[in-house]
Amino acid sequence: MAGRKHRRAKLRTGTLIRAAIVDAGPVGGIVTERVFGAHGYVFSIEADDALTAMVDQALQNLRVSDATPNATYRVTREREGRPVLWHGKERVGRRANDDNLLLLLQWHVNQRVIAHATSRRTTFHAAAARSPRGVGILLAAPMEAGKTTTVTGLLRSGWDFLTDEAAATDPDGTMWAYPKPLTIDLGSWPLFPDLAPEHGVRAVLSWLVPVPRTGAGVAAAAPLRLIVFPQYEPAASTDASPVRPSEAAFELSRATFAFDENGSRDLPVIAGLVRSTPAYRLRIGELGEAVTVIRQLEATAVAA
Amino acid sequence: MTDDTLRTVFAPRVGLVVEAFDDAVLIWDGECRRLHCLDMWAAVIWEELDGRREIGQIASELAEELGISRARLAADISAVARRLVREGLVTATT
Repeated sequence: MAGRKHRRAKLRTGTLIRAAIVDAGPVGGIVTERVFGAHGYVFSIEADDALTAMVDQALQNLRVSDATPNATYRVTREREGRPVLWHGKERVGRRANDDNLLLLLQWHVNQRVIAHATSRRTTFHAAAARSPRGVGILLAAPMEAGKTTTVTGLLRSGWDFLTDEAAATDPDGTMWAYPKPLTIDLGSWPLFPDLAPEHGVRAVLSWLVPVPRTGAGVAAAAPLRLIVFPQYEPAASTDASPVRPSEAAFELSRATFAFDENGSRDLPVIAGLVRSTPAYRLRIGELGEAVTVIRQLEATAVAA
Repeated sequence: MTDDTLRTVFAPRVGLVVEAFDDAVLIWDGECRRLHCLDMWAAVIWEELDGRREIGQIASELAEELGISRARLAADISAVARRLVREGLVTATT
């Protein structure tokens, strides 16, 4: 009851509500507590109305029900209005505006979700998606290689989203979603002008795009059937070349979060995956061509 | 190639995680937190270093199997084995 009174008092003040509380319908409507999470990291957020609305939209695919938060974020304002992010009692940082505060929040959530994911499963620094025929693709690469851009191209072709950051994978090849908003960096903005933030861009280097804005759905999981190592090379011709299982294992090991900590667990998992899954290196000169090549590889995987 | 070298026995270090492929072997050394990739030739030799047979015996057996001179093989095996010792992947006893 104490918690209920506390929440009601906060709602009455109108100055500080939990991001997880909205859906208060008309007078006497139901108050629904929204909580976010992935891979066992469950959190709620306290912020003012403006930021609450932004968080609610950006993290919509991370909403969970029937879960108790194990972390709480809080956003306060300095006198000049600049937002400050808190994680429990730890001050994470201050930003110039709400858009950058949202990026900071997403970054912090990423670290925690990935830590939780790696404690349970082999987790690749990768994008992942599921084709309309149910083929799961893993796009593993370091930063700036084109993971998010490529997966966004696939989403535009009718694929379902799993992640653009971390693919937690079981030994049997089941990849589990981490459906954070897409982080589309400055260099790819011209490819997706319609995904620009609806409220305009305010001095940020990345857009956080909720997946529904791409028109795609989100899959909870997908079987890994295709491994691709993308590499964007401006002005290059787009092509794919097969990668030997040993080479794929080595590359995937390098793309595994916390491999240093979990190598004894992860190397056998990776070896098993590459022995049963075709792998390709994809040089990307142009996104449309890359999507076409991936669709051809997917058809080959289905036929096999 | 000295007689001592030919009589040396090499054994894989305990606790390594090894995954063998057709063309390479990946070895995870959890103690040093290092991932090693042995190419095909190094992998062939790695798999022969069983902690029982001396270099000379391994060279004789491989020479017969591969049709390569025993002396050449013994030198190659010894060089690879010494490198594996330096990397902490095998131990040597004479």
